[in-house]
Amino acid sequence: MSKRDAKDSMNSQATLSVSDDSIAGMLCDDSRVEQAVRLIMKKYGEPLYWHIRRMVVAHDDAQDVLQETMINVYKYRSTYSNEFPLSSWLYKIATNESLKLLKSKSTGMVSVDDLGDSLKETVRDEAGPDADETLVLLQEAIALLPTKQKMVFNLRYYDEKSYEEIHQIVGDSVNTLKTNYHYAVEKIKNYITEHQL
Amino acid sequence: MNEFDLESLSREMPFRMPEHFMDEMTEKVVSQISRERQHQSDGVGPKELDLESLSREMPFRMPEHFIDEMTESVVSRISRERRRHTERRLYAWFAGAASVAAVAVLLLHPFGSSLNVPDYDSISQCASIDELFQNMSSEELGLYSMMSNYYGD
Repeated sequence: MSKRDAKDSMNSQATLSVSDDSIAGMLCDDSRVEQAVRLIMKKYGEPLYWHIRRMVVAHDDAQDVLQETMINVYKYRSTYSNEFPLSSWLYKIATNESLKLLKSKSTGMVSVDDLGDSLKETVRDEAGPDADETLVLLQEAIALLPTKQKMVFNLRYYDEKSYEEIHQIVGDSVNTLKTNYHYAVEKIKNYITEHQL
Repeated sequence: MNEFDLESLSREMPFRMPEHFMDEMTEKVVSQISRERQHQSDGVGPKELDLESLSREMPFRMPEHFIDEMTESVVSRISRERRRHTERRLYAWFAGAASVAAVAVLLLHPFGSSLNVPDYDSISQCASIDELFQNMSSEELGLYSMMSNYYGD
């Protein structure tokens, strides 16, 4: 590891150790808001990107949604309450922005859930040629899920959030979330079993 | 009108079940179960997918340096927003201050005393129209007659 890489790595570690409370404090201080945004991007940028990407699938859409998410973090920073973890607030904004984009794409359709087939096609386009077939099938199965089940599954399976955290992000009761996750898992298993050679 | 008596109707269905349906269905189900059992004992049958054993890796890629570039883009957009917000506040402050200044000038400047406003008090004190005419100078009378000719009586 070069000297520069080592320094970058130390900076990253220092960023990750900055507490969410400190970041939230900076966010409310006008003179430190840009520093707060940089810290949020360093600490949560990647998980938020992947959360969005799993919802909207295409990278270009994920890029737009992540940018809008961060602008909304700045615009609505005064609405953040310490009652909830900062990460839940960020995920909530990212989820809402993802849904907003999907809704804008579903004009003329009955609901966002009707986008399933087009999202499934995008999965194939976006997956690299060397992508693992089972992982592509898993993403196709997720793309076909109803939006609520998709959100719950992604947050639980990939982000390993507790049902309490998912409740803070999505808003449904814990029991409803558990039911949604259960149905999502069943549908995904059936899809992969049917389509796997 | 007599109420229709549902109870009096026969419980018979208007559809028919194909002949030997039950026997054939029983055979089908039993043979399917025995096939499944055979597959399970051979270890060939469709195994249930274990999602937990799958990798959490995504089959998509994130472009290199994407997060750093996005951070710069977001921060510069926020700086622009903040600058615009400050400018808007300054503009609003100047507009407010200018309005207050304009009102103050109108109120405090002695325009009122120099304006040639008729003295209605002295008019009301005149005993009659004749007295008013008597008090008029020759130029005012000339002006009055000219205006009377122009506008009529």
